[in-house]
Amino acid sequence: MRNFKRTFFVVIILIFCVAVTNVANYVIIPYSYARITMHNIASEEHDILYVGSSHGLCGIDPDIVEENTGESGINLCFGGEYLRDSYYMVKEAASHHTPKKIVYELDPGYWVSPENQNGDFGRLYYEMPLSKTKCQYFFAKMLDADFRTIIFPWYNYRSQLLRIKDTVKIKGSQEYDEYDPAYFNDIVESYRKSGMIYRNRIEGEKSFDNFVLWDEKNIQEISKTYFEKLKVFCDEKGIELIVITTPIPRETQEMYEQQYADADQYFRTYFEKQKVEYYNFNYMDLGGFNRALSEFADGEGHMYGDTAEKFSGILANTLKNQ
Amino acid sequence: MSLISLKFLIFVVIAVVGYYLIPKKYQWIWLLVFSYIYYISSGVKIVFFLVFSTAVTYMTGLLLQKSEEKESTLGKKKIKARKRKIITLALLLDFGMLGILKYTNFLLGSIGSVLGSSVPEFDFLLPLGISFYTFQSAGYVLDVYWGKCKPERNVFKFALFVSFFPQLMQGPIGRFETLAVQLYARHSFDGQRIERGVRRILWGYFKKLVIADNAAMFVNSIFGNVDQYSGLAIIGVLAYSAQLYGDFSGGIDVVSGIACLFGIDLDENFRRPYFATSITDFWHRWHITLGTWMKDYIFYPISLSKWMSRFGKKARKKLGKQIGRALPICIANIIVFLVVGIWHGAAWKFIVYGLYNGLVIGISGMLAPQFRQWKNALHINDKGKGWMVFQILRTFVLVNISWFFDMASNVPDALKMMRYAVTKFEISELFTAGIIPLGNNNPKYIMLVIATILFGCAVLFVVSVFQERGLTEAELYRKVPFALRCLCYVAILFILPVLGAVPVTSGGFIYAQF
Repeated sequence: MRNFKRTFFVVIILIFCVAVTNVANYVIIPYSYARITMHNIASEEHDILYVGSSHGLCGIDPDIVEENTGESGINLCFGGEYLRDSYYMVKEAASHHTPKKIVYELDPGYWVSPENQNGDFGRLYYEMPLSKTKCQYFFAKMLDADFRTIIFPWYNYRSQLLRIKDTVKIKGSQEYDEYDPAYFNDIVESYRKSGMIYRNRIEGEKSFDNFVLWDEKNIQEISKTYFEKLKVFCDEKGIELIVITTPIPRETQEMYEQQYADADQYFRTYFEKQKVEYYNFNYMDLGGFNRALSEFADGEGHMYGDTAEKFSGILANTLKNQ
Repeated sequence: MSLISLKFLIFVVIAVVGYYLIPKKYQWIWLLVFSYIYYISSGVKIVFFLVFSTAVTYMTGLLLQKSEEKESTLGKKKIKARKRKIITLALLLDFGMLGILKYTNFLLGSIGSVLGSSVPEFDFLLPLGISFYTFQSAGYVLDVYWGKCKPERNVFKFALFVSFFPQLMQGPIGRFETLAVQLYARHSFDGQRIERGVRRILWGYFKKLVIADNAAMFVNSIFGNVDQYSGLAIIGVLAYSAQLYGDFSGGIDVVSGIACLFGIDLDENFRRPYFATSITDFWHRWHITLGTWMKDYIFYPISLSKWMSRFGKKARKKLGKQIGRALPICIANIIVFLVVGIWHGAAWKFIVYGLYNGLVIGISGMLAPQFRQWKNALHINDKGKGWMVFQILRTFVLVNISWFFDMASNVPDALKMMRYAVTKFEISELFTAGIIPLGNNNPKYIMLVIATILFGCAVLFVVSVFQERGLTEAELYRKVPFALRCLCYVAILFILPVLGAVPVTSGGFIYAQF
């Protein structure tokens, strides 16, 4: 009887924990662009999927590319997206509709730094609908993450406790139900339905916060593994895989000339072996495109929205003339 | 496999459930299999080093016993010489492997800087936990050599002793006589033991995630930008005190809790070290298993050696009875702590860290009679609480001085920080942009992080005071009803995500890099 009571109590406690976590998820996890992205890849058909890091997120406007090429696209890049994330994003998107092309935006720093817990992958995982891909993603990545990220999804947003009122309000609104991106617009940036983040020109010091320089010694084998997996997946599905590196400020490139040149050389050789087209826009003639630091939000190379629009035009021409 | 990853928790749950479901006689095999799976998950190549260390020490144990059995036929002297050769070779192989992998580049770099030219470095793989299992294995062969324990004949059982997964990464350094018996014993499921294990794991996570990881944000910024945060040197070192203790003892609590789930009690590695009244006392309370290893396998062999006793006699003749008696102990202590420093890492700062501790202990030992005289002259009541508090604070300051060497990038930076600690203090630097990673420059957020660290330290302090007064957690929990205990565990479980920081280095534990 005593054991039964104890077991019963433990079960009640577990149910209580699950209930509290679910309520916390609802009231603490904010409405994010990941929700819209996941909705869009399930409900729309796209010719091109753009995957990669925050440089791609701020630098590629699929609408401009579509205007020039007639090929629709969606930007699936996010801050802290490693190749492992890109691979499962592509798989999830392709499970709804097979695209014609995948454009992988390559930031060399991501190939030489271990995956950390600071990216947005938790948001995307949380918003990803329950599917075979989600399960595979769980075993491939989430299992290695801090247990709190999985057991308590609200944990990454606990700094937003004071915004509970706003979060609850927006989650009960029509905007939320209709996946409206207007909610994310502020003085710094706005979120486009195509998945791109448009950075507004604002005054201020330009940072070098998350800058990781290329050093071949530090190359992470997992990046190669997942790139090769992505290549195999694309080949199997008849999808064309293209790799690009978006422009960075000329000042940054001059400051670390050798490292950028080494990275370019390494990837040219690597992608040639992989038989994948690689366009490094830092070593191409971009016509009148201005690569001065003034055109970027920071020294790392996140473009301002208008710069991104100009670059997307160049990207469109490159994809068209391939 | 990080101790705070979901994979590790699932791995532990599967291991524990299976452990109690399979027939008891196979339990140790189950543990061995899981230990190797755990190790292989960090890389297949590094298993070679673990197997090598296991093979060398296993064979040495058997060879030593075989030699002993031949004592009647070959004679005591011959056997003694043979045993000495065997043990020397075994220790050379064990420590040689550790030395080559961990210290070659440091030596080459040092030679290069002396010669003023760059010496090429080797790209050696540093296997996880190598410092821990090498010391544990070396302790075993020395115990067999000295006849303190019988060698293990079953190679697989011995492999489990070297590789038992909870303690493989950051200790505690186990002794064969206490650990092996438990590893090979048959264990029945015991609910109370499981609860004790879970409780210890939660407490360990609290120390690591709430105290250490929050403190680490300040520590990394301050120690990483010495000149930029020169006014925060004192806060940096205090935060490091909290971080290191929370990180290391938290990690040990987690692994001890996991071992407890299997019915195994690991040796205690901490006993409220910041309540120590002297540096010697501190080392009896901090990383206890390393301290006792050093005492048994380095300090005693040196201080009781023939050459040291000859030296002691000469010193007594030339320097007087008091110094002559204390000097050999002082030298043995300096050697021990030099090794402790080298064990901590391949860098000059660690050597200085070790020497500093050795010198403080050695000199305090030599000056002990003078201290007694001064105390008497000043009529200090050394049984009083005031004196004890003074001693604790004095020791805490001395320990913090050593932390400068432990955490700073190099010796000049450590010295610079010490200088800043006494000449500069600028609290406003705490609110400088960038001191906390991930762009959280909001002063309210910084205050919240500070309040969290202080809250964590306060909880730790209260628990430590109870423990210091002799109240064991088992006694405390026995008085609390089961339902209330469960609610406490749930509360701690929810505190981890609410107050715990995002680990700066993906959940890495400081001592797991050793």
